[in-house]
Amino acid sequence: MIFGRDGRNGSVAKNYLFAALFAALLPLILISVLYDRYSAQLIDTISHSRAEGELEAVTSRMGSFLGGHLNRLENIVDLPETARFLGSGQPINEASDLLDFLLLEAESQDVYSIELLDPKGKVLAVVPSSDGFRGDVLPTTPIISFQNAEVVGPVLPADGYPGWFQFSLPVKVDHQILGYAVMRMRLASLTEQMQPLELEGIRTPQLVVFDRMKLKSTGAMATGETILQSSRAILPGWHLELVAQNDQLTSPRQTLRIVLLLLSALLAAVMVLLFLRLSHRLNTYLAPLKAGADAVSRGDFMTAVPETGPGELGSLAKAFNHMRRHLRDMINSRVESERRASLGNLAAGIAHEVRNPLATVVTALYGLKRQETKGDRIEMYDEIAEEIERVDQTIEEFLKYARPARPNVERVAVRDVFRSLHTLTAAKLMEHGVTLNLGGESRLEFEIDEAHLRQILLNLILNSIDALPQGGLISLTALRVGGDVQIRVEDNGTGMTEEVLAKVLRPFFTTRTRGSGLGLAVCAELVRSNGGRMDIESAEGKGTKVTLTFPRSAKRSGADDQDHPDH
Amino acid sequence: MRFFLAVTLAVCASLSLAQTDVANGTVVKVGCLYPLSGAGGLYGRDSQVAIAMAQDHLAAKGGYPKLDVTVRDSRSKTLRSLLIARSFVEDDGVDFLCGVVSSAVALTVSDYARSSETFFIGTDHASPALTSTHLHPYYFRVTNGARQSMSAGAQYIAEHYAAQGLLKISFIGPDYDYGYRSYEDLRRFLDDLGVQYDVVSTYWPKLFDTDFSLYIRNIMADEPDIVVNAHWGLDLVTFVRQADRLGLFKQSQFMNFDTGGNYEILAELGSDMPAGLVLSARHHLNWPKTAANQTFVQEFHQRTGRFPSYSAEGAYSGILAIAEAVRQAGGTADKEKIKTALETLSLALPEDPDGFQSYMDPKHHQIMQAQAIGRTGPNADFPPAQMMLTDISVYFPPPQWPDFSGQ
Repeated sequence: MIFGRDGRNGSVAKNYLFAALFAALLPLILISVLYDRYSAQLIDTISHSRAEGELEAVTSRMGSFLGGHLNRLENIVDLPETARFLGSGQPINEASDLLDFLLLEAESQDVYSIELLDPKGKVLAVVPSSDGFRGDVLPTTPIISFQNAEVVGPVLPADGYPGWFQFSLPVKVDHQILGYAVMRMRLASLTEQMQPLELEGIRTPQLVVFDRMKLKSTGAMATGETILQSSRAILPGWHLELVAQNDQLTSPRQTLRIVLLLLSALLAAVMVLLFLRLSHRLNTYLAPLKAGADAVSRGDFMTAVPETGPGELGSLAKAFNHMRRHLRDMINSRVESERRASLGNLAAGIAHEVRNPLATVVTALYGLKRQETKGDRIEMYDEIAEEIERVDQTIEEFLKYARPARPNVERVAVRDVFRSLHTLTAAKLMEHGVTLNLGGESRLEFEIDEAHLRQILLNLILNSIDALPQGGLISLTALRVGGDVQIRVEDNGTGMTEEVLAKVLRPFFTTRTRGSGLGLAVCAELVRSNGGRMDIESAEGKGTKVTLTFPRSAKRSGADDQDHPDH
Repeated sequence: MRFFLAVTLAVCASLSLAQTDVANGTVVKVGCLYPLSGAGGLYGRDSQVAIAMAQDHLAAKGGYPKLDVTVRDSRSKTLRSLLIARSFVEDDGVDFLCGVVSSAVALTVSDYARSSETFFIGTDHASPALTSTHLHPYYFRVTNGARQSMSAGAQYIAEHYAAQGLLKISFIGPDYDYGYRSYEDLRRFLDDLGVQYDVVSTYWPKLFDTDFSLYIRNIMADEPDIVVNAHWGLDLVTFVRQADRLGLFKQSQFMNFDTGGNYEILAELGSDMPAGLVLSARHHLNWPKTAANQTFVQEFHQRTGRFPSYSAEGAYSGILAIAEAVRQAGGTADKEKIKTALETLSLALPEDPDGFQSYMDPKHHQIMQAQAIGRTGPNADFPPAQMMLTDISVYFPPPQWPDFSGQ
């Protein structure tokens, strides 16, 4: 885990994520709570408090409507013409004032008819004259007394006729009942007044008569069940109720509330999961960076950090790798220069302390040899001189390795160098039965110290000849690769094991009995001092390929400023 | 001999007087009741124009009595109409009462016509009660009644919708006799035709109501296949506007068989009239495409600058009927002759299709006419209407007016 659980500062990324999560969740929770409270209050408001006032207003209006029409019927009863007509027992005169008055009262769309009846209930006059329904009063029809009137009904809509109810008032003279005046009213004119109480899909009003007749605003039978509010009576046994439409007021809205709350909780859970996942992903990208930093602190410059992270994380990983390589090269360069400085001093010391005495020894040996007559001794002196020569040669090579000469750069035609080398090695090649093929781009030229190049290639060719005891093939190829020049020396000889290959550039490492072990090390050093790079590939029994890569234009700083990727 | 001559001369003189009565002489007094102001004012104003057209037509044709027609504003009020009718008869001594748009008012006027023994030529009202339970010798109706409209409507439903199986029907009509009769008649005719249907609801809003939303919502909750509506005039215009906005027409097929296709409805709604409503009328501007109908429509347009509502053709028919009856009776003196003439009346009217002529059912005093039902579709030939009836089905009357009063 990259984020130290025990660290005092914890993980900044995680802290940021949790801060963002908190910032997102807090408004969500606040809005959810406020909305829930608002919904609860809204339901309460709709179902109770406001409804009371509206219900009372409609109840008053309906009471006033009934009272007004009853008052009009009372006016008819109070007319002397009414009593005269009922007392006469004659049919109503088409031209009478009474008929005109009754027509005027019946003009209202709320009144179906006005009837005058004899004391036994026989109809004597109907205004307006209509073939309209007579609507029988059923045994179950409610009849109540209201003030001094009798209210019959309501009779529900049936058989293609609308519903109705009627007021009936006695017409009296000297306490003797002469008959009755009846006003037949349109039931829907009363129920339609409940329309303002309708809240579509939420609640609906109904007129309830003796708890067994329930009427909608249209005057049709109602089916509401859950009563929200009841009004006072508008007539004895008649009152209004507000009912939930199929419980749509409470149940679905409460369900909606719960659904909204659950949705909020679900949203919060999803957000937490999302943030945890983000945190985990961020971890997977940052953990390798920390591991890489730890590796560098341990001195391991070879462990690369994956650069697959998205956006800035990928850039950070690339920058880290760049830094690691640069650091590695800097340290290597410094170690190398220190090593080389001490090696140079050592070489100078050896050259001074060993070669001078050796020169004296050789001079003395030469004198001794000249004075010697015995053949076996002369031969012994020659062997000693030869060995001293070999020691001197080794010291010479060591000096070249430790203190290489600064390259004298010039433009060199590769073709000339190749031909010269071929000529130089022709005899040895023939001796060992080896064929040297020259190939590649014949006109290639680049800037290098020609002597160094010759020495490097000669050394490599001789190494290849040594690797071809049974004869074989050596290929010398020059190519242009990108902006670089690549020279390959390849043989199909004995090759090297991986173990040998790993040590082959070390000074004084050799597999030959008379080798100094400095040839390849010197080559590598010369290549480096000419700004090039030497790569060796070898497979035991198959051969070796040495690839030299030089910039076309000379860059003498050597490996100090190179930044090539790891292999 | 002198006496004989004198008697002969006197008889001849009286006979010739009777002839001149009809040809040019005695004026026939007609008192018409129409709403000239208020919600139905257009009907009265159109009727006035059509009455003048009919008078000109008769004068041009010749051989008809001169009609002195007075039109008074009934405002579709019962008491006012009764007072006007009394005044016409008792003060002006009219020979004929005519007109009346509302059936409720017509019932009262008709009762008065019966008691005063004055002919009442109904033109625009449509309740079957006037030609059945309230029928009397002096009442004759010269426009199609709601019963004929419902008969044609039932046939239309049987032809176009019965194949769908059990039909759910909602009925909504104005809360008075016309509405109840229309509903009753529709059911009878559907039953007679064997249509499988179920009435899911009936509603009776007030006549001249202005807010039908309560009823429209209730109808929509009932989910009928067909809504049969029996409103007329501005009630119908208001209903269609509100129903369209509330989405009723997308849910159910709307039908109005008596007055929905009246030109004044199409004109008032203009581009607000939805397409696809099944409607009919007592007179159409674009059907029948006969010379008589086109002449009638164009002449009305030339006189007024507008196209006629259905009531114009009704009033026109009423005046022609009165003139024809008086002509056949040889004057107004013998009411029996006039009655006989009206009972056997046969008139060529603008609304008659080719090969058909309107005729009076002698028993019920109801004129028998063809009925055309169609669907609203785009047609701007009669502005401001933008929709006229298309895809028209024509239903000819049965041999006798269907009388259910004895059943």
